[in-house]
Parts: sequence; structure tokens; C-alpha cells
Amino acid sequence: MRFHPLTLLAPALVLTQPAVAEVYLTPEQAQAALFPGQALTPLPVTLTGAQVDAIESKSGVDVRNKAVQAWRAPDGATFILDEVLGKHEFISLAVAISKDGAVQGVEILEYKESYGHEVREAEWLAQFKGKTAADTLKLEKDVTNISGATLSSKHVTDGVHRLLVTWNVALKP
Amino acid sequence: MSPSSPKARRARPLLGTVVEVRIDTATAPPGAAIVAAFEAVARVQRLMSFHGPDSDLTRLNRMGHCRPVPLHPWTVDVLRRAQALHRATGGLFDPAVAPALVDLDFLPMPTADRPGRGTIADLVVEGGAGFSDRPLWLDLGGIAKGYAVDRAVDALRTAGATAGAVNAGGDLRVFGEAPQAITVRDPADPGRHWSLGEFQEAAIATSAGYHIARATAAGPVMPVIDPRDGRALPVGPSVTVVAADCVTADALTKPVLLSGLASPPWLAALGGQALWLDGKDTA
Repeated sequence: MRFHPLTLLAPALVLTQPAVAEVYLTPEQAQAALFPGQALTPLPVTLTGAQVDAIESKSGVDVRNKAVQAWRAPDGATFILDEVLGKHEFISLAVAISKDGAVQGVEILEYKESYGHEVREAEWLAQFKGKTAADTLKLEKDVTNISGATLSSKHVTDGVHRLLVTWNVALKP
Repeated sequence: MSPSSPKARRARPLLGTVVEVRIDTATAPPGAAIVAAFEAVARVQRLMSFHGPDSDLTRLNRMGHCRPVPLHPWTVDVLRRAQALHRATGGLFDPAVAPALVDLDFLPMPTADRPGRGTIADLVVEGGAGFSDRPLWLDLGGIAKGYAVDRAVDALRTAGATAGAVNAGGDLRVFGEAPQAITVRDPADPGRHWSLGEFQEAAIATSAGYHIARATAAGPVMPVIDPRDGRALPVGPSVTVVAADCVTADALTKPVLLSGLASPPWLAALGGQALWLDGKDTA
């Protein structure tokens, strides 16, 4: 890795955790954020094979889990917890859908990235041993500000679309 | 309070990416500030989306050459900044390259008539409206994300946040007295990060090919179009720009990449600094 000449910016290669993992909300906090002050009732649903087929054909997205984690609000709105998996990312999310089938809100609960190089991480780390230990500790604490594209939210968009179709097929009040 | 123990931190899918809002210190409960920050980002998305059927930008691209199109003050603000940066960079920053982005499938085909040659300098923005003599397809994807980050930081501060950060898919701004550590993804291995040091009241944006490249006969390319010949840049080094605000940092990554210069002369005049990271893993 080489750098072009710089006057002020002086970057240093510092080992950070090989995977970015952020937890934003617990399921309970997401319920409270999307349905403030409302008591939700669990609405356990297990999709039938026919429902899975219908959801997959209407949304164009695979259904990975037949058990739907859903709750109903007093006003007929629905709260669904779900997760989406991309090539390198895992995102768990909460979606609020109104009685009429409109998305009222989407919150990301947890975002994880992994590039699958944990295996060679030990080898890679060995070159820097003794040089970056202090910075490593510091960065593990402060790793939240990362510049450079995050993975696209296409998987999230697809996931929300799939949940809207799921609502239509199996959860409509 | 250190960034490791924020008062509040939330993330939502917006602007085609994951937008994270974090409050470290505040003079008021953080809930309302978080809501206001996401509302600001969502408003920028509604106004300036290339895909949105009713966005200001879509109406401008469709009708701007027929009659003046009324625009929200934020859209006016972004278009004027885009024009100023177009002039300052000698034309290297130009949102009018959308037709080339559509051809490469980086953007969907709009319903508006396809324009001929034209630049954002052909656009006239006055009296809260935009119009041009010739059809233009403008894409604000290279500047609106940074603008949204700035408006979100404004909203956080107005609602009592005194320190924190907003990160829209890697274009970010930190605010408050305590310096915050910033890292940049390695373009050859985006799970690996380079430390840039600690920053206070600064914005940082990066353009790189990972996650978003398109395959062409000439190899993978990035959604960065050279306005001089309409070609997309091949995937290679990443450019990170540090500036006082995120709209400047976000917009300038593209012209710095296109200039091929470590630090083009206009960059310092605009208050920016650039960092090139090589795309080849030659450590």
C-alpha cells in the first residue's frame, strides 16, 4: 500500500476489528421507538408452503424463515422483526406497517459486516505486531466513524418489500 | 462522554445506504434530536432523488427546459453549490453526467427526453425556480448525501446536541469539542481500515469502487463520469476528502479522482484536503 504525497493528512495502517458490528436498538427499544406508548400483542404466524410460494413470487425475494415475528398494535398496525443477509452483511430490522398497509417506519436494530478474511487476519496481524497495540485498543473503542461506502441498502429495500408482501398474504388485520 | 458510550445512536436505510446518527453529548433528551436529524435526511431524499417520481429533481429533469420549475430552498441551495463547485473545479464536478450513469445502469432510465450535450452551467437558478434552454439530466447523487449530512447535523444542534456524528454510508461529519477518530476503508479490502487520526468539526467523504462497480468491456468502472469525454473511471484508488462541511467533501471526491492529481490547486482554495489510497494491495 502506498500513499501519494500529503501535507497534513498522515494516515497510519491500524488494525481494526475485521468485522464492523453495530447494535442500535433491542427489539423492545424498536417497539417503543415505532409505537411509543402503545402495548403490542404478539401475533405468532408460521407461513404455509403456499404462502411462502405466494410471497416469493410476488416479491421476487426468497423467504428464509417461515416463522414470522410479528406484533399487533391497538390501532391495527403491525410490527415485524426480520433480518436480511447480503454478500458481506447481516442486518436485522424492524418495520411498522399501518392498518392500511403503508410502511410507517423502518429501524435498523443491528448491522454487521464481514469480509471473510478473519482466517488470514492472524497472519496479517503478525507483520504489525508490537507497532499498533495501543492504537488498536483505541480504535476498537472508537471505530464508529468509518469513511468509505457502506454496503448498499438494496437488501434492506428488498427485505422491506418482502415484509409488505408477507403482511398482505398472511398478516392483514 | 466518549464516542464509545453515546447518549443515543440509531440507523435507518435512507439515501440508498445506511444512515447512522449518533449523539454523544446534549443539553436536552436526545430522542427529539434523532427524529429531527432523520427527518432532514428523509427530506433531502424526497427532494433530490433521481428515481422519485415527484422529487424536485425529477420535475426539473423532465420540465426544466420547458418552463421554470419551482424548487424547495434546499434544492436551490444544492444546485447553487453544485454550480459553484463546477466553476471552481474547472468543470470536473458536473451533475449533468446522468445520461452516462444511466447507460451504465448506475441510474434507472428516466421518463424525461434524453438530453444532448450540456452542463450544470446551462441551468439558471433564480427566484426559487430552475430552468435551462436545453434538456438536462442532472444527478445530485454526488453531492446530496453530503448536504443531507450537513442538514442532519444542523437539526441535531438545533435540538440540543453538542457533540456527535452523522454518517451516511461513509460520508460523515463529526461535531463537538472532543476530537473523534476517523478511519477509511482500504479500497483493496474494505473490511480493513486506515486510521486518519482525530478530527474536530470536520467532514470526510470517500469515493471508491468497492461494492458499486459495473463490469464493462474495458474492465470494472465506478459511478464517476469524466465530463470531458463522458467515460466512467476504472476501479482503482479511492479518494477521501476532508473539508469543513460534508457537502463540499462529498462533491469534491469525484473531481479530485478525475484530476489525477494528489492535490489539485483548487482543492486548498475550497478548504479541502485529499487522501489517495491505492487500490493495489502492495503492503
